[in-house]
Amino acid sequence: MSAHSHAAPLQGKARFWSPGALVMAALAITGFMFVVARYIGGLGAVSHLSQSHPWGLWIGVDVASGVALAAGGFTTAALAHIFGRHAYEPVVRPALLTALLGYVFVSLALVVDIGRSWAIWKPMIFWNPNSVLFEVAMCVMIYTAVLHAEFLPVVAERFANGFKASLANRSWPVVAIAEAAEGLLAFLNRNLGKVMWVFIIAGVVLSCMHQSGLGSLLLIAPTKMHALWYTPILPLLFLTSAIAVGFPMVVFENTLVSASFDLEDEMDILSRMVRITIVLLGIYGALKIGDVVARGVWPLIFDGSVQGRSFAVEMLFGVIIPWVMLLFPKVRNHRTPLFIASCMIVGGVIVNRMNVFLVAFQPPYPVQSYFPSVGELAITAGFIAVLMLAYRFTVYYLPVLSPAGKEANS
Amino acid sequence: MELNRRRFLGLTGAALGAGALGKPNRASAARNYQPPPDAFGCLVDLSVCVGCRKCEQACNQVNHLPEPQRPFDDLTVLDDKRRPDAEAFTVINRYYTGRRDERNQMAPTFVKVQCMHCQDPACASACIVGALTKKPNGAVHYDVTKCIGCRYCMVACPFQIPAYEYHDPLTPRVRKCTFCFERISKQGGKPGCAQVCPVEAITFGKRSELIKLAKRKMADDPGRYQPQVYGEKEVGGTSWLYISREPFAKVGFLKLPHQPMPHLTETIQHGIFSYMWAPLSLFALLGGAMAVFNRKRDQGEDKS
Amino acid sequence: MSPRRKKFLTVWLVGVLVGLGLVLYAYQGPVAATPAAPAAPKAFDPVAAAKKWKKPPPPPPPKVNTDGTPWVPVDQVAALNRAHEVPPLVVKTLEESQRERRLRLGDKMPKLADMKYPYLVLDNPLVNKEGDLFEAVRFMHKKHAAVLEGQCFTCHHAKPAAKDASETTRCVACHQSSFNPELPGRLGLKAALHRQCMGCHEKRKQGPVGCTDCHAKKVPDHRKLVKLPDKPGPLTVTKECLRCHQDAANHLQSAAHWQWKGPSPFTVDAEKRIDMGKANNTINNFCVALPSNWPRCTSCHAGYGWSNAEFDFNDQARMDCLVCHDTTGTYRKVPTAAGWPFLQLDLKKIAQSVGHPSRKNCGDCHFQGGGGDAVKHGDMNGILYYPSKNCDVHMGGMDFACQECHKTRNHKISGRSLSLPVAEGSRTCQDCHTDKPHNGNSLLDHHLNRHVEHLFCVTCHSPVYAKCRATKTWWDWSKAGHKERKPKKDRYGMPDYAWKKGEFVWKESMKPAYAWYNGKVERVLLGDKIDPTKVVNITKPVGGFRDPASRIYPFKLMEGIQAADAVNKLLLVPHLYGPGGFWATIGKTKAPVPDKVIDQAWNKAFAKGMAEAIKVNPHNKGLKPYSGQYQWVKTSMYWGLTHETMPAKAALGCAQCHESLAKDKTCCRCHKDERHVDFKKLAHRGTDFEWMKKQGRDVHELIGKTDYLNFKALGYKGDPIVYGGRLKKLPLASTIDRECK
Repeated sequence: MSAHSHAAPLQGKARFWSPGALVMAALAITGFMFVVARYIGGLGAVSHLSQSHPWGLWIGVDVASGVALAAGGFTTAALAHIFGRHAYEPVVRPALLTALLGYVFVSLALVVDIGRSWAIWKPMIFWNPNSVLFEVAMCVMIYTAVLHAEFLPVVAERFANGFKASLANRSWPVVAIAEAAEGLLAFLNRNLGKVMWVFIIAGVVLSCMHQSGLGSLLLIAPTKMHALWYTPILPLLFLTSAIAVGFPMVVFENTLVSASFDLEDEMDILSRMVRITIVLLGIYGALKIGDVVARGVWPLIFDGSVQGRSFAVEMLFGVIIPWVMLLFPKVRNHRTPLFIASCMIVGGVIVNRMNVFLVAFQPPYPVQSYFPSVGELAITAGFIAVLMLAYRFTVYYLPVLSPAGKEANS
Repeated sequence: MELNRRRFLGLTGAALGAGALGKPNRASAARNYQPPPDAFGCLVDLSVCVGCRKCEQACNQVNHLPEPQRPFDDLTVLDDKRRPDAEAFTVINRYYTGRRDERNQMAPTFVKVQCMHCQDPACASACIVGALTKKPNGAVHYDVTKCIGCRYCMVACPFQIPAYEYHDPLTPRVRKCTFCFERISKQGGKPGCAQVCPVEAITFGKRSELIKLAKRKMADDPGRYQPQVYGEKEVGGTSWLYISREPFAKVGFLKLPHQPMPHLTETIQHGIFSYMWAPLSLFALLGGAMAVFNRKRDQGEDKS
Repeated sequence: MSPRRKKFLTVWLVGVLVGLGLVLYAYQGPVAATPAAPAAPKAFDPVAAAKKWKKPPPPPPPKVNTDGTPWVPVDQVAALNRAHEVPPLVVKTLEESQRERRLRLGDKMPKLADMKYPYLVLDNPLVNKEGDLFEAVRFMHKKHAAVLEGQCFTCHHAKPAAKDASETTRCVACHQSSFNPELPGRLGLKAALHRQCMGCHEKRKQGPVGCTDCHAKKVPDHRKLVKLPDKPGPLTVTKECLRCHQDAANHLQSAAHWQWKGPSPFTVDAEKRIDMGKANNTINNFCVALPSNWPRCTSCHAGYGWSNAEFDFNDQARMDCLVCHDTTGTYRKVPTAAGWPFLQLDLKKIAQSVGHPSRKNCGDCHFQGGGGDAVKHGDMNGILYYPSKNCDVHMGGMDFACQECHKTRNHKISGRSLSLPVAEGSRTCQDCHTDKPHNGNSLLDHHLNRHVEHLFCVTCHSPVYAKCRATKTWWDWSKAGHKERKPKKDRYGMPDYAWKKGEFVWKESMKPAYAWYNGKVERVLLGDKIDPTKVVNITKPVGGFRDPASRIYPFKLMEGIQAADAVNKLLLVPHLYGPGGFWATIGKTKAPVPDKVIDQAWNKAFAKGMAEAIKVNPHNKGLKPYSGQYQWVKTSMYWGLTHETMPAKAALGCAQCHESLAKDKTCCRCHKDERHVDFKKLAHRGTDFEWMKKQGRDVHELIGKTDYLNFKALGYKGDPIVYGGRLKKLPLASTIDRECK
């Protein structure tokens, strides 16, 4: 399973502080200030969350969409490793990194969102197996650990040699620690490959569980959910949409990264990949349409309400149009149209998650309507910015990307 | 290549199908929750309530809640429809349904709102750490030492009851009617609101007895009440029950299904996770697939 | 990073930080400006005045009867004892409809006359256990029965199954603890009472339904709530009170007890005014008027430091909460310190035991009006702290607090008087006792109820006033100043003279002056022209024989001699108390005081008094500075009598007014003497002045008196039974000589 082959750090090959990175840093600082405000004045001080709308943007985007978009990690891993499509391996590592960072930041966003941040460990002690949220939390936690394990070879590869060398002229305890660390990394580097299959399969299983679990979350509130989204197969829709968005997400980040670092893209891999997406997205779309038709709620789409329009937008721009686009080889084989289609699918999933968690959620006694506050938007933007910076940092210093694709192509 | 992809898709579909089909089959076996048989309850007779807000005041006192902005004897607060919040576990709302009294004045109906203490509470099912539990005495009890503040209970509650201390940065609590858990745990103890009610619009007792009492009241005074005990069947039954002269829909009550809210989610959960059969099968399936595909690749590589 | 970008980022960062700081600042609110200490009144230092007063505060009045035995409100105690009984719970009741019940009982239905307990207190430990927000309710059992015309089963809706149980078994026998699991659906006592009362009141659209219409709110224990340093000053105490009760201060700010003026809806020609009162333009024939005499007079003001015309009525910090809300009985104001309390009082302890006012709180000012106990009001004096039932049936028999009749909303206290124009609501006996107060349903009650249109209740129910302690009925200021004159004690032990004030007459158990009164009052106010040659009626009830709205009311008629401006024809305000005042001037002079000195002292006092009066009445065109010449004029004032009502049996009897019934022939002239009633006895029942005399009351003149009200003086030709009523002819005249059979 070892994929040492072509990946290399980008250090020295590109500038870290590009203008984009600076903007991200600014967003991150703004977000951080609002996080500080949240820990001074409470959630009420920065958010528009209320007694009637306990969940807002952070759950809809940071958590639900974050988890869904991190699906690229397990789908590519499944494709390349389980189903033996090794040609896709160059995109596995970046997808894995996206997933890993995605989950780390989902967790951080949760830390900010839950009222008692310091108590986040409690679900490990106090179990409520009836709770969907408990299942999701457990899976997310274990899966995050699994992702770390899956990503460990990358770290090991980078630091297996040369830790000691850089610290040679330090005092002896430092050297000793460095030696120990290096030894451990070397050990992991040698042996991880042998058990990596367990982690890879576990990753896929766990992902299936909690991706669907996220969909089950709102099944407990049938009376508060708009009929367009409330369906017993909501978990299945969440799972299929997560699987469907996996590859478009890889396309999305790959395109962004290659543009940002001025690398040559991997269009051949991506084009092949999205052919699978046609099927996956097709399944999702069919399930979704079949569901509203079978339950007979489809007329609600056209009733002119916010919910109806949101559903139409979600389906039209998030599923149907990109799906049709992908049918055309011209789209699949060209960077810009492919990027656009992928963006639409990614956006479609985000809109879907927001629809489920925010638009469809109709409290019976609305104290006040919900629209995200500046604070919520800033913190969400801040998290996304930090995530992108962390991604940039990681690919800058660790062998994640296969730069220029030259060696890969040769 | 073509063949492989087809097989891959097929397998995925099969796995998904197995998951989906597994759910209903296991339903009855997986969920065997029984509401506490000896639970207490309260029967609120809306035709008796005079809207004096003493229950709000008693609730405030026994729960040591902060003093409200406007005093409890200020009945003009009834001009607005209120909801229970973190500082008031129960509120009285006034409705004019169009009924007129002997003097042809609009006759108000007062409705007390608080946690209904469901027999099969959605919040308790939802709570990630089990901080909310249905106690044998009927109370849906909140244990702050377990709570992490995720507010899933608030999402889950069909009555929109749990409230949250949004302005506490580190130790916010979910706040709702406690059914005076400590008080009713003692012999002869009564909830603060029921005890103080000057007209016994609230009757406290065993839930099973209260349902009988409600039916008897209806039979004794034909035409006075709507033929429905709200809370007898709603969401699988609630510890708080209401009878009313006015149609419930007209005085702020929700029309709710009779099936307990956690039924679907818990059925799915238990369906998938009983003995971890679903994850384990998926694991085995994927392991098999991996072995098959990778052997093929090794062979392929050998050939090249 | 380029320097430009660096600079940009720095500016941006600083901007955000500053913005955040501003938001936090706004969030916490601007630092509250420390309020400047209220400026001390320039001329007068109340603390110094309080220090100068050497005598200790008078102790609370002892809770004893006049003979020294412990005081007990007999009716109240009896009612409470009965209320606190918890009889064994009746489990089974007779299952029958009201119809069946009536059929079963036939003519054995309970009657109004069978009622054993006309007055109840609804108070039971079972109820108090359930909630302690409110005080117990007084319940006029007999009145309810009368209004319901003896339909006892309206309330006594079920009978216990036991054979020997009473048909009118009391509520608590069946209704005890709430939610008894053995008896599901059986109401607890509290709910049973509330539902029965409120349900009926609502159904009949009659009677109170709000909580505080029946109950007084219980005052929570303030020991933990009041946070004060040791030995706090009065202003500190008020500040602490207002911490929670700001609305109370806002209410008091516009109330008569703070402003000493207000709306005067019952004063002729001033019905729409809201600015009249003791504070500025009223005058009387006791201590005359407030301007220039503040520190002495305002010792009864619910505030601190009103010592001159400049007092700031917007300064809520100067409100005196304790004077009305002290429950220890120890709080007292120094008589000469502009409302300042005695310095030796433990105000912290007093503040921590605040509660509803008692007779003590109100009485300390209202019983002591005119400069001493019983001086001013004919029907209020220190006896009423703990009166006997015969002295005042409400306060003595049932321990009424003042506010139980004088209903108070937002510190506006209802009730009115003739002496002052301010009224914040009006109360009358009929508010509780209904328009048919004689509720016995008998022939006599029927006749008595017809009196209600023509007589105020107290006219009969309190035939004498000042019945337990003598009140001042004459005050001659013209005799003041003679320090050498030795006061003599009259038969009540009261002095007939004081050099500061002049000559007095006191009278105990005085027969009132009766007059027609329709509620309106004519007043002479500061600045009103008078005719010095006639008696000046400072207050006079409006009403007349032919006015259907008028009824005969009893009054204390206060007469006296006081000063008027001989040139301007105005009643004069003397500056009595304080530096340069009449008392200070004479006080410095050695006895005997020559008339010239007294004359000079008066001139000085009137000049200053009128100057200050003008200062507080800047818009009063009638007021003129003292001309320099005064003369003595006779004045009179009518003071209403509403308190000290006596038990029913002590009311005036028929024959005491109606001469025609005093003889042998009585009711039998109209009614056949076939009922089991002794008409003669009935007609002669009533106030027993003999008995009162034996009690030590000065009533010997009243014994055996008939035509008590003096019908002719009121406009009748004579006894209305003989000569006919004022508005219609009574059908009795022709029967006057009819023989009884």
